[in-house]
Formats: sequence, C-alpha cells, structure tokens
Amino acid sequence: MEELIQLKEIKKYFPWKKYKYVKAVDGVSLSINKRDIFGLVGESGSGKTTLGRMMIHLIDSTSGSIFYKGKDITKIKKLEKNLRRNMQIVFQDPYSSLHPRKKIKDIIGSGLRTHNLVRSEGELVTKIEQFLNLVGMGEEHLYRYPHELSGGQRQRIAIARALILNPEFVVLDEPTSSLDVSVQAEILNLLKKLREEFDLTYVFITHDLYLARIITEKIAIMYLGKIMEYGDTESIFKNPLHPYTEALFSVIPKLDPQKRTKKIILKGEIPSPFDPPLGCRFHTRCMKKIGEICEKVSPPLKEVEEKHFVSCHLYD
Amino acid sequence: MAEEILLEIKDLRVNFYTYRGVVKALNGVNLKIYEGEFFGLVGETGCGKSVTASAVLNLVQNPGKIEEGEILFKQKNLLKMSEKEIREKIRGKEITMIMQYPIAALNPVINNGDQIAEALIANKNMNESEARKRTIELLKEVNIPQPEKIARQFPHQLSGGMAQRVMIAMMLSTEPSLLIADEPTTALDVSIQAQVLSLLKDLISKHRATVLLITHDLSVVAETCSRVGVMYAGDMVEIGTVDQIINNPQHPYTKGLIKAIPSDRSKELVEIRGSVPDLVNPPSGCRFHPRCDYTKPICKKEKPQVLQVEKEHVTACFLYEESRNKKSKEEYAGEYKGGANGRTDSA
Repeated sequence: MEELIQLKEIKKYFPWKKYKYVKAVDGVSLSINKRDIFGLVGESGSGKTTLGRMMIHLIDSTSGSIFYKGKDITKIKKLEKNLRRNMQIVFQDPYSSLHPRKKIKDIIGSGLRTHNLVRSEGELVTKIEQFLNLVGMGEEHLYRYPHELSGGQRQRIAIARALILNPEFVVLDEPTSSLDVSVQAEILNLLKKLREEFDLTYVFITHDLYLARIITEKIAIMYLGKIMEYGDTESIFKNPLHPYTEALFSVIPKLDPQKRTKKIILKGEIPSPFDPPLGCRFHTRCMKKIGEICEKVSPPLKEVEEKHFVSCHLYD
Repeated sequence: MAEEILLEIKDLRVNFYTYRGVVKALNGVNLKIYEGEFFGLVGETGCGKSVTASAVLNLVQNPGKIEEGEILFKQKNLLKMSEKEIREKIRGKEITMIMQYPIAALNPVINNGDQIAEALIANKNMNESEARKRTIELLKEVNIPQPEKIARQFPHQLSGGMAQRVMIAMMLSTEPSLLIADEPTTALDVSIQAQVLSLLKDLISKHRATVLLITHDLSVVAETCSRVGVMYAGDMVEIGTVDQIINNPQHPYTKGLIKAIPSDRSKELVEIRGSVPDLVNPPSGCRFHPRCDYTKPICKKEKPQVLQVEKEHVTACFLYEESRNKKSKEEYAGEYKGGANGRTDSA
C-alpha cells in the first residue's frame, strides 16, 4: 500500500515560563498508508491531539520530520494552498469550532472561496447544498446559525466543511466525544460511508478503546507523549503486549461478565509532562517492571510480532 | 439483596416553566431502591436522570416544580417535609450526593481538609480538633497519598481523580444511608475511573450504604450495579437486574441503546434513528414512538403501562404487552401496578 504520511522522531515541547517545557509529544515515529483509518488512542495528556495537529501542520513541531507524500512539511513555514486543502480536521467540540456569527452557508463555503474552487455564487450554493445532503442535512439549514442546531447537526456541518474541499487526509479529533451515544453511532456510520465515497485517509483520535476497535484498522496507544504499542487494531486487542495496554484493556467496563478478566488497577496517576519519568515513561506505574533498565533506558519501538510494534524492555 | 425498600419514587412528575413553554422533564417515574444495593440509572442527555436525583434531595429549583408524586425515603414522604426538616435531617446526612465535576463542586477558597471538617462539625457535633483528626482518617480511607499535605491544599491543586476522592470522603463522612453518585467518573480517564469505581464499591460495602449511580455508560452499570433503570425522555422505560437488562432487554429503546454503544460486544454501531425529542412538546403516547421500529397505532395514543416481565424485571411497552398476552393472560396479573395506568399524555 502507498504511504501517505510518515513521522520521524517528531517532538513538540511547549515552553512554559523560563527553561521549562511541557513535553507533549516526545519522539514519535509512525507511518500511515493511504486509505487507512488510523487510531491515536490515549488518556488525557498523552499527546494525541498535539500529534494530530502537527500532522496537518496546524502547529509547528520542535524537532523531527513529517513527510507528506515524500515531502517534509516541517521545513515549510507556510503550507502551500494546495497542501492545506488536502489536509482537513474535524474538532472535538462542535459548540466552539463553528463561528457563532456566521451562517452555515458561510461556514462551509469560506474554504471554497479561499481556494477559488467556485466561480460564481450559484455554483457555491449548489455545492454546499450537495454536501449538506451528503451529511444528512437539508437546504433549509443554509441560512441558519450554529446556535439553531443540535450537537449532532453541528458536527455534521463540521464534517461537511472539512470534506467540501475534497481533501485526501482528515484528522478527526474525538469527533463524537461530546455527543450522545445514539448520535455518536450516526456520525460514525456517516464517516465510514464518506471514506468509501471519497477515498479518504483518517486519523481518528479517541480515548475510547471500544470506539477505536470499531472504527480503526490500525492504532497507536500513546502514553505521556510516546507510543507504547502500535499495530493492527485486531491484533492489539487480541493480544496486547505492553503492560500499559494490558492494564487499560482490563479496566474498561464490559457488558458481558464472561469477558471480564482480572482487573489490573494502575496505581497513581499519569505523571506530570513537565518532567516525565526517565527511561520508560510508564515504569512508575508498571506492574511488570523488570528493574533498573526500565528506569534508565527508554525502550525503542520493536517489531515483536508481524506489524505489531511494542516499546517495552520485556521484549528485549 | 436485602428486601427492605429504602427509597421509593411513585409517579413523580417534574415540570420546568421556561419562556419557551413547559418542559415536561419527568413524566410519572416509578422506582424502588432496596437497602444495600447498587442501583444504576441509565439514559442519554436530557432523559431526566439528574432531575430525578435532585428531586430526591428536594433540590429542583426554579423554574422547575415537582407537580405530583411521592418520594418515600424510609417510609417518609420527602415531598411533604419542610425545607428546614430536609436540611436538618436528610440532605447531607441521610442522603448525600457526588457530582460529576468534583472541582466545580468543591469550594475553591477553602482548603480540602477544612471542607470535610466543616461537614463533620456541622453534622456530627464534633469539635474542631476531632474533626481534623477524622478528616485525615477519611482521606486515608479513600487512598489519598500524603493526606496531611492534601488536606492543606486547595481544590485547584488536585487532579480530577483526587478531587473525586476528596468528594467521596466528604460524602461518606456523615455515614449516609443513600449515596447518589451523578456521573462520578464521566470526567475521568479510564484508568482513574477504574480506581474510583473500585474504591466506591469497597467503601459502600464497608459502610453498608446504598448507592444510586447515575450514568450514561451502560458498561459502567453492568460492572458495578445489581439493578438498572433505563430512562428515556422523562419516562422510566425498563427496570431489571443487570443480567435481565443486558441479556434480555424488552424495550426497543434499551435494545437500541445496547447496540449503539461501543462495547466489548459490538462489531459495528447501530444507530437509533431520529433524535431525542424536545420535552416542551413531547410525542404523544409512548415518548419513544417516533424513533421506534415497531410503532403501532396505539403507541401514538396511549402511554404504555408498566408490565412485569419476570421477577424484578418490568418494562413499559405495548410490544411486550402483546407478546405477553399471547402467552397467558392471568399468569402475571397485577403484581406490579405502574403509576400512570393507561393515562394519555395530554397534560
């Protein structure tokens, strides 16, 4: 399969006061193929959103490189219009991601105008109507304001806005976490349908493991700015190799009692990203810590099974 | 399960008088909670689960009004008590509540220790030094590391999980008989959620309290509760043991909900078509009928009665009535009488 985007040792340190940094993403390497639905999974503070935003050049990286179709986009100050059109994002909170004083028509249409994709006002309206229908909404919404819509409808608008530019690559940053479960199913099925229709590549950011299992084909599990485990979704779910993944899977609430395994309840909380633990990021909470090596040496990502990478000293 | 009924809600109706019209938030809710059990209340946003909880504490505030119904707590009707009586005897003593956002629920300008001590001084007639000592013990009990230090800190210095523990410590300090937990882990990460839930379970069995757990997450209920009530748009649509609800749901909404949530079972998500109705103009008859796949003419006209499926398992749906009538007419007769018998929803 053709590779669309490749990350090499990408880092993002946010400066904080003097000489202090939040190490949000700290050396992540991965590659995403065309037409993948790639999941970035992690708890809050794991760096998944920061990583997603760096992929489409919404924020600059501190070091490392991101190759988009072979071209390093970290070296460019301002993206060419064509690249920007190809990379879109749907944000988590549809209540704050739509301009409250603009009509739906202008929200969806502003991209078309910026990129000169339409010649006349009539063409603009036809195109917007076409996309409104595509996301399950009607022409009657054209001249409404975001406050007149429900959360699910707003998220549909955000999706239409991202897709109307005919992008190749869309980052979905927890697109359903602020919606109710019955609406969530609707939006996810819509996203799946649209991928088939437009040959899209998705990066799906979520903290919900079951959601990731349903929608993604590959996932990377993140913890404190690093990837702990990465590979095909099914193989990770069947056989989690990293102690963190294992613990995480054991504690997600399950409907069926027979599927419940012994819960591995992690002690403490995620350490502060200001000074993350040395060595393996997870050693302070790990139940399978081997010894000194975990505290001193940061384990590299290793291919333990076929296409299943783990960053843990257990597999040295 | 102890068979003693601790809390019984009968035909509770709550309306909110807004400028848009009257929001009929609760439409005759019936519920029994037995002593010592973990009862889960599940539903989507706006289905009335939190309103039910605030009604129990008599905290429904303007423009909301409790129109009808009874809330029997230890056989006494809370709705007949004066505000003073509730404040002195019930709220914060017999019934306490954990909120969804602990950091917002705690007072930002009083340190954590003093907040808990305050509750002890007010409710347990302790003097200051006793209260402080007990506070540290309580913080230890909820597994807070360095309790002395945390007691001196302020809520904003705590993480979500820690703040929720402080909240739990405070709520257990008065040894309540009923603890209402309103989405206690929604704002927390999975690994922290697991910590808090297991802590809550341990403490409850130790203190012999009863819990009403309100959540939108059916899996959380499946893991922690013994019985569940499923709510939809102000109606209680189904009540049963966890096993009955998860493995043998009768109401189409419950069935839909189970298929719509990402869980260990789902391979793909099945959506429930349509959206939650506006409760200013709720659908007539069964409030779920516009979204239901099995709607019949009667569903649009009458509110379905609450019917017994098995022991402990009741549902309010005409579909079940039909299938049951096929089986036998007398077998299940009249053991459980729901509040709104065949009443049309024209109020």
